[in-house]
Amino acid sequence: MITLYRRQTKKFKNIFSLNNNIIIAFFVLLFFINAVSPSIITEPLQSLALKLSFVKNSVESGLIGFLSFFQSKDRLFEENENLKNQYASLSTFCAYSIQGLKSTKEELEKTLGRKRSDIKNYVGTGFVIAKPPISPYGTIEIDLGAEAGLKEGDEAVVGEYVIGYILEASKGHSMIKLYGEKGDNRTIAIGEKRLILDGQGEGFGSYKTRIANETIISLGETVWLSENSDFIFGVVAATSYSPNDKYQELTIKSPINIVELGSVDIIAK
Amino acid sequence: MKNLDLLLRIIFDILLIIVAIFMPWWISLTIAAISALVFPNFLEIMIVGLWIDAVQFNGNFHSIPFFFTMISGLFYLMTKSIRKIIRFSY
Repeated sequence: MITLYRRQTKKFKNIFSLNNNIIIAFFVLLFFINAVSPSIITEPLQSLALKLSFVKNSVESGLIGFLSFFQSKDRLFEENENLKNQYASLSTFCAYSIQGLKSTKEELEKTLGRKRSDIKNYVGTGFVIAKPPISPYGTIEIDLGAEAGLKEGDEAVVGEYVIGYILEASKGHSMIKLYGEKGDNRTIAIGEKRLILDGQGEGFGSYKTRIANETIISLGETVWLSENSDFIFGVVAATSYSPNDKYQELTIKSPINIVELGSVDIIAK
Repeated sequence: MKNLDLLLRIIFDILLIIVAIFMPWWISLTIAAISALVFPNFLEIMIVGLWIDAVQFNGNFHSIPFFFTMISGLFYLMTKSIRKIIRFSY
């Protein structure tokens, strides 16, 4: 606690004491310096102030950086924990999704007759790289060849439908000869009764055949190639029944549109 | 007691240096004035005045050269007379 006391003043002291002389000398010196150039005093002090403010700023930024280091460390730790939790829940979700997708894919493949595990002699799936008119008429080219194990005579299938066979197996690509092209005559089996008939290739994946008028053939009946009964060739697309004729003409057509075809599965013969 | 005086004076000096560097002139001058009343022969007030003049006013306060130095010098002389009459005790 600060208190004030009254001092006893006894005698008058000389005003020209040492301290007073210092003050007077200081003022005289200041007066002369100011007359000559005040920057003699101001400049060194200003540069010192600049340096001190620089030191102050450095210390401040250092302290802020030091504190923010801990803050960012805490934040990173928190984010890491959150991410770990998210990762755990997401990986579980993904595992379930993958399982679901796998079963859906298997079901879809089964429905479409694609690459089933129960397909015998499955060699591989080739992407179509050339179609008519780039490839010769009645053929398509795929990007699988002898290197992938393809051999001449192997069947080309799309889903449950057979579309052709390997005509030429090069090293990295193969040419598939399509069934049902002009001049391609084959024995075909129609319907559940497997009526064996001779089909004449008409082009664009279709055959024409004749059968006795008495035989009832309905549209949409399944047709197989007699040499390959594992896969369907097509369906009965049209009949020309006339009571005056002894025979009716059947048009058998493959439902596979070659123009839209993207890939084919190869089955070893 | 003398050691405590010295310690207090050193603390005040350090405080005054920090305040003079980083605070406005009126804060540092007020602290310097209080110190001059408390401590005997407080010549530091002159240094504070000179610092304020040089750094904060570039040697001129309203066209008066080294105004704060002169003011602080006068205040120092005044405190010598004041301290003859009153005395601070703690």
